[in-house]
Amino acid sequence: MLGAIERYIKQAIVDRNAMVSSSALVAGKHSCFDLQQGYVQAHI
Amino acid sequence: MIRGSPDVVRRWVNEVQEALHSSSDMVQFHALSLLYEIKQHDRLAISKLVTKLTRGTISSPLATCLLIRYITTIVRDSGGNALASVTGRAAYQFLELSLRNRSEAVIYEAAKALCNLPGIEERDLGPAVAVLQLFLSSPKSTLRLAAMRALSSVAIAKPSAVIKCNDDMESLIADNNRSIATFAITTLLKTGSESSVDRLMKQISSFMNEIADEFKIVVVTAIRELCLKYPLKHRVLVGFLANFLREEGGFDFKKAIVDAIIALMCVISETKESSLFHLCEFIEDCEFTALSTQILHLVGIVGPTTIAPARYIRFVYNRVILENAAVRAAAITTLAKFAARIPALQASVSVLLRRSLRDEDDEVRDRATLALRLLGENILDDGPGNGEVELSQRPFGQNALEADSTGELPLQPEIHLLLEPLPISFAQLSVALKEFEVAGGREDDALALSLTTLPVVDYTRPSSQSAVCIGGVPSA
Repeated sequence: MLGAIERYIKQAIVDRNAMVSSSALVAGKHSCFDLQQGYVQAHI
Repeated sequence: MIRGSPDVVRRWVNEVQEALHSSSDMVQFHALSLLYEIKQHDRLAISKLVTKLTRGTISSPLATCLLIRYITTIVRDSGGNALASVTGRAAYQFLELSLRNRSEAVIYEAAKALCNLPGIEERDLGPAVAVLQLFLSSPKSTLRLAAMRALSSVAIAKPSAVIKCNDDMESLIADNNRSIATFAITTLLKTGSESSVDRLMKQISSFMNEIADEFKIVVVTAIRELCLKYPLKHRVLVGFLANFLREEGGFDFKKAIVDAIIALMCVISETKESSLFHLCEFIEDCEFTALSTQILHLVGIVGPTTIAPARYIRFVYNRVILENAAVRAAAITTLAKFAARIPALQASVSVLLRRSLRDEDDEVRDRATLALRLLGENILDDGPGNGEVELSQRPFGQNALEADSTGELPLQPEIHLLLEPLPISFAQLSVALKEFEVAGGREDDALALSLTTLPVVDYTRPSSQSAVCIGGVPSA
């Protein structure tokens, strides 16, 4: 599933529009699910 | 959202790197945080990334804040004397540079990071503290609070670094925001010199009525530490704590004060008499059973060693007349301790104890019986009818009496025996007393809930029985 849309997300990351680009990056963050714990620790 | 596929995301590194150099602040921030997450298991890659970015390619304040946090993590993880290494030095320089950033958030983040760096020297803290000092006089209360918080955490480890902010902090005591004022007070208590204590105390006393209990506890803890630092000021400080005791407050607040006073009593022996008196006055009007019993126990231990032990008897006996069963029981034990330690008081205390033989509570009666018995009094003298009722009503009390009488010790040696080994036996008794206090707390709960009163009663009995057994050992 992710593989199919990967191309579009990659494109979106380098999009010129800041909103699009940020959304794609945040989407990437969310899909790093197993890394979330580390994220929380790094931000406290 | 798509979850649990970090491998796919890892392939996006190039795109994310590109986004990191985007012109938008927001994109930079998101790109940096994603890049960190992708690489976070690879320490080398992270430190490379951070080193590259510290050379000044990011403009976004938020991304800079994030970068500062990552730097702190790296420095902290490298452990030991972090600043001595090359990377540590570079990190420090970057943080110092960030102190001159135009965004306040970055400045604060950098100052906080500097303050929290492990093994930082006091002279290296200078720039960070100077920046925070500027924040203290900022019109924005968020900035004031943030700076105050950072400074108060610095003050714990290195009070001398914060001293130059004292003037600014003193003006913050009058701040509208109570949190800021509390931080200012507690920090000042840590950094203040001995000469400023009196002035500070005056300021605090007007301020204490306006803040919530949690803040008061913080202040009490700070005062306790201050008193340990300047033992000569104990009169002012303990008097101050005693004043708080008389005012309104919840259990946690009162407990914090009592704990502080007791801790100071142990360390500074000059405060013993006056503190004990303050505590006695407190239990005259104390609504918390746990605190009353704790103090009564303490009075029992410390009271007999003071110059005029007799004056404490009044306080303790008032508890027997006025309070609930748990406190009455504790007061009985305390009276017994006085009588055991001070032969001169024995006769008068026995009269007082005798009145509790007809108390409505089992535990109180038991303790009074035991105490009188240990003091060598003949309980049955009290009146034949009463004695018999007591014996038949309470098989366990009867056992105790029997155990005592089978000891068949002459009365005179028993008294003599009691005076010597009693401190030991009462120390053991106090363990049993504590046990009872725990049980007493539970009992209150159970009664309030009107549930399972029976197991609690079962629980109380063994503990009081053990108290009797322990007390009975020396005479047997």
